[in-house]
Amino acid sequence: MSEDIKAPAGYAELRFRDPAGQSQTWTVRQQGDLAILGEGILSQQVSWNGTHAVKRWIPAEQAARRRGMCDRLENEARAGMRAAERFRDRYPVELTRLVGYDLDAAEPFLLVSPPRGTPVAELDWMSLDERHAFQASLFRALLLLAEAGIVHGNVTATTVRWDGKAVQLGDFGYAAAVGDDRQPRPDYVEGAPEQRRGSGRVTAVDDVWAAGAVLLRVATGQTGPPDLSGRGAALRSLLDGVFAASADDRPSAATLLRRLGVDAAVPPADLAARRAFADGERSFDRALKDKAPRPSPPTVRPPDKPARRFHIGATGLIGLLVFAASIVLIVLIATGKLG
Amino acid sequence: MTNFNGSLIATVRCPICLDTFHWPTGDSLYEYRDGEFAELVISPAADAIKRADIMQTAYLRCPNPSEDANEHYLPAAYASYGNPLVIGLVGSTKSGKSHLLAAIIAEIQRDGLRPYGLTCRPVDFALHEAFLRERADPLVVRGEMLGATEEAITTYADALLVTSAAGTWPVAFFDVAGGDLAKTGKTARFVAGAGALIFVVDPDSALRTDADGERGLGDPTFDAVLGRLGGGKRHLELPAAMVVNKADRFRFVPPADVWLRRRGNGRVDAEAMLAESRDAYAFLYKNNANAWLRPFHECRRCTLHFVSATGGDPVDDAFPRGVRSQRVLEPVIALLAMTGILPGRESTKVGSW
Repeated sequence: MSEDIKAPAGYAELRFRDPAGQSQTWTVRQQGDLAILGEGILSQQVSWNGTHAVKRWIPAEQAARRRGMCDRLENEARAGMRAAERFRDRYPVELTRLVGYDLDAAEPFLLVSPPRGTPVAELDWMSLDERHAFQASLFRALLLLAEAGIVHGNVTATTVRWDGKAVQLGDFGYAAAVGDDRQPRPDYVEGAPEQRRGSGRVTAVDDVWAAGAVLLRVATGQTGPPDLSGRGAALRSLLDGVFAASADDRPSAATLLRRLGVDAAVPPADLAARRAFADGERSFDRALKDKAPRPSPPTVRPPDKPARRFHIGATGLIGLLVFAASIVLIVLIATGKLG
Repeated sequence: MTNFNGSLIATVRCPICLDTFHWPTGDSLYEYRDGEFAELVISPAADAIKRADIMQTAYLRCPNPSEDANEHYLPAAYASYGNPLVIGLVGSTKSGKSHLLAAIIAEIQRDGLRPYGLTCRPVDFALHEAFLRERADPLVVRGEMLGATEEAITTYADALLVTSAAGTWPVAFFDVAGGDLAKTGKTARFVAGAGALIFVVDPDSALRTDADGERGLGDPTFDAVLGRLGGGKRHLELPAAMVVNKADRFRFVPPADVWLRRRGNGRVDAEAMLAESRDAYAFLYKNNANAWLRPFHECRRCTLHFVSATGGDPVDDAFPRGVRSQRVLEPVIALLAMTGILPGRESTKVGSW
C-alpha cells in the first residue's frame, strides 16, 4: 500500500486498512500546511468525500533508519484499534479516532480524526464552571481509556485540547496497554516518577498524575513539580492522592469523577467477543486438565484367603526348645543347683 | 557420553534415514570441499589437539543399514555429545515456516540464547554457512522474501551444538515443504525421529474473524504428522510448541499486542508461558480456528506463542524497512526447557502446568 504518484497535484491516493480490518483506497485532497511533529513525524490535514482527517507519516528514508519514529505511529495505531474495538459505534468525543493505517509501507502513515478545540497550553483563562466541566471531561477521557485497556502516556497541556464543552485527547504516540513494561521517559515533565524512570508495568492509573498536573496548571497556572500546598480546599480535595509517591495509592479516574459528582458510566462493551474469548480460556483449562498424568489405577485386590491356622515349622520348634532350655539353665544357676 | 576421540561407542539414530547404528562407524572420514564430499585422511602424526580440530569439520557417511536412502553424511560432531535433538517445523506451504526458521537461526546467530545461559555453534559448518548465506541474510539483512521451500528435501536445514550448564547437545532443525509433510513418504521421515515439534499456524488459513465464519478443517500437515506419531496413543509425550505466525497482523489487537511487545529477559518463566499459551489458545478459539488446536490437545506438553518472523507484511516481495523479528526464540526456549537441554526448576514446569 503506498501513495500513488499518479494522483493530480494536491491530491494523493492512499491505500490503507481501517479499524475494522477492511482495505480502503482514498484519493485525498491535501489541505493546510505541512507540520513537523515531535521526532520528525510529518502531519497534514486531508479530506475525502467530505470527510476530514489528519495524515501523520514518516518519510521513507527516515522510516528505514529510525525505528523509534515508527514506534510512535505503531503506538498510536494500537491505541486507536483498541479504542475502536471497545467503543465501536459509540465512539467518545474525548478521544481522537483512528481512521486507518498502513504501517508496513516504505512510508508508513496513519489517518486520525481532525483536532478539535485548542491545546490547554494556549488557553488564557477558564471560568469556575468551565473548569469543573473541563476536569470532568479530562477524567472521563482517562476512564474511557482504562475501559479500552490503554493509557495515553503523554498527557500534557499540549496533547489535551478543550473546545469549551469537551476535552479531546490526541497524539497517542506514547500510548501503552495496561500490563506493558514502562519505557523510560526522563523528559516527560508532567509524568509520574515511575513513568519518567520507566520502572514497573503500566497500570490503569498511569495517566492520573499527569492529568492532575494539567488541572493544576489550568487552575493555578502552576507548572513544574506539582505542589498542592497553599491551594484551595476544593482543589486539594479533588486531587487528594493524585500525586502520591506510589501508583497504588493514587485514585482511579472513576473515583475522581465521583469526587466531582459526575456520572462515571461508560458505553456498554461488546460482551459476545469477550464471552467467546472466555470460552476459549475455559477450553484451554479443560484440555490441560485432560492431559494431566492420571494416578495409576489401584491394583485389583486378590480375594481374601481363609485365616491361616497357626503353624510352626521345624526351625521354630528348635528355637522354642533352645529358649526353654535357656530358661531352665538360668533357673538352675540362680538357685545354685548348678555350680 | 562420547568425545571426539571416538574411543567410546554410542548408538545413534540418523535423522535423515532414521536407521540406528554404532558411532563411530569405523568408516572413513570425509570433508566437504567444492560442493562434494571427499575422503579425508588424517596423518598418523596428528596429535589429539590437531585431530580434534580436524574432526570439527569432518563428516562420517551414514551406513544406512536399511539401504533405503541415497548416500548421505553426518557431521562427526553430531553424535559426539548428548543425544541429538531433532526439531521439526510443521505447517502448510504458506504458513511461513521457512521465514520463521530463518529468523530463528538469525536470532541465535546474534547470540539471542546467551542470556538464557546457552551458547551455540554450528555442528555442520558448511551447512550453517550456506543457511546463513541463502536464507537468513537475505531475509534479516537485506529484507528480501524467501522463495518457497524446495520439495523432496530429506535432510535438516541447519544444526547447532547447544551448550548449557547441563551439557552439550546437537540440535537439528528440519524444515520440510508443506506438500511433503502432508504425505507419508520418505521426505517426512524425520518426523518419526523428531524429539520436538514446532507447529506453525497460518492465520490466513486458520482465522475466521467474522462471527458467522465457518470453521476451517485444520492444517493437513498437522493431521499427517500427528497421525504418523500417534500410533493409537491418547497423548503424545513429544514436547511441542505451537506458534501463531505472522502475528504482526494482530499487533494492534489484544492479546497479541501485549505479547509481541514483551521482550525475553533471559529467564525461563513457566507462568508467563502458561499465560501466553492460554491467550494464544483462546485467540485461535475465538476466531474459529479450533481445528488448528489439535497439537495442543494431543501433545501432553505443548506451549503456544505469538511470533512474527518479519514484523510486518512485505511490499512487492520485499520488506522496505527491513525485518524486525518478534519473539521467534520463545518456542525454541520452551522446547529446550521441556527436553531438559535448558535445565532448572522453572524449566521442568514448562508445558506441565
